[in-house]
Amino acid sequence: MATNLEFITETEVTSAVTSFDFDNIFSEDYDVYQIIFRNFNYGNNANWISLRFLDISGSVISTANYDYASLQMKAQTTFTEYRGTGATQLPYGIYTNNNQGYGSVLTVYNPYDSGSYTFTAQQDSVFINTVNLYGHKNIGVLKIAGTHRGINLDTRNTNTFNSGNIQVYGVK
Amino acid sequence: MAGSLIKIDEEIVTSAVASVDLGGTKWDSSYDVYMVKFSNVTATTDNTILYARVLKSDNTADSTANYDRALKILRTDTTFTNLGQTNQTEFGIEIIGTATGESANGIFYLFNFNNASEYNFCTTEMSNFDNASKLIAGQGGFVHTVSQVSKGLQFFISSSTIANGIFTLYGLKK
Repeated sequence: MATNLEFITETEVTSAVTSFDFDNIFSEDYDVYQIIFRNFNYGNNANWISLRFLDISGSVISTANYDYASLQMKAQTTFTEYRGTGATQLPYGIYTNNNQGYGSVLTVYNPYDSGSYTFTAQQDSVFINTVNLYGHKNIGVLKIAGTHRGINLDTRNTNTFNSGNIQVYGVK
Repeated sequence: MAGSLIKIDEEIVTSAVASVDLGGTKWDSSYDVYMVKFSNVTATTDNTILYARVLKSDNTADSTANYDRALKILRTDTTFTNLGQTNQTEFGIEIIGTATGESANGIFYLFNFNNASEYNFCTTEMSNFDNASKLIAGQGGFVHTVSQVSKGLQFFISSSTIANGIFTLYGLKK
């Protein structure tokens, strides 16, 4: 019996980059996607990174059309809330020192539907030596009814992604 | 290799309907856990609430006052809120509207629906744009506090109709 969680593609970060596109991962074949992020390592300790979508031409959408709400859950101190409207990116919670563990699942709704906004829901768990366990529950929206074919990740500074794996699944 | 997420039922709404039943006569009781996906759900009338109820073994929605919910409401306009309620007649998903982009999207997991001696549980993860064009979503879940076999979910909108949306039910195969 065929599965309805279908592996589409994956990419591997193998050299130091501050930003990269993962293009042509969305199509008219699916309305909902689940994207797995794992094994990320950085040139230095990282802060939050930027997640943006690619338009139908493959260009990064950096206009002020992103809204987000994020609950940061920390094992040893008070939880923190973040929210914003009209932002130029979705903050994505890949916080980590190196080699201490990180995992995240990002659900994307309607990215290829030109008639609807693109929504996200994301959760992650990360361990940082000096801070202990962090987790995030994030929601986001790109307020452009357009066809979006991929994502862009950016450290927002001179820090680099040194390694990392991203797997994309379509929920058929 | 055999798959593990098996589609059981899908309902695609492109014109107004009073409700959407996922499962019911199409329910397959061979799974322990089920996943429900819905996307781009819109209402015909502005400022109306999208709800869900469990479908009983006779394939009708259970409207008795036995729904409890506990949610952390993530939102862009103000401090996140805790929403807890007991003995409701349905599970409230979101207030939705008719302006551009206003829609509901989410993934639920269903537990114990084939167990006559346990309550029906549901975890929820959503990302919605409400009737005020505000990003908002309840993360948490609900329980239907009746020990009974259930056969899926019914989605409906109070005093209005569902205008659009894709609703899909899956079984998680061992």
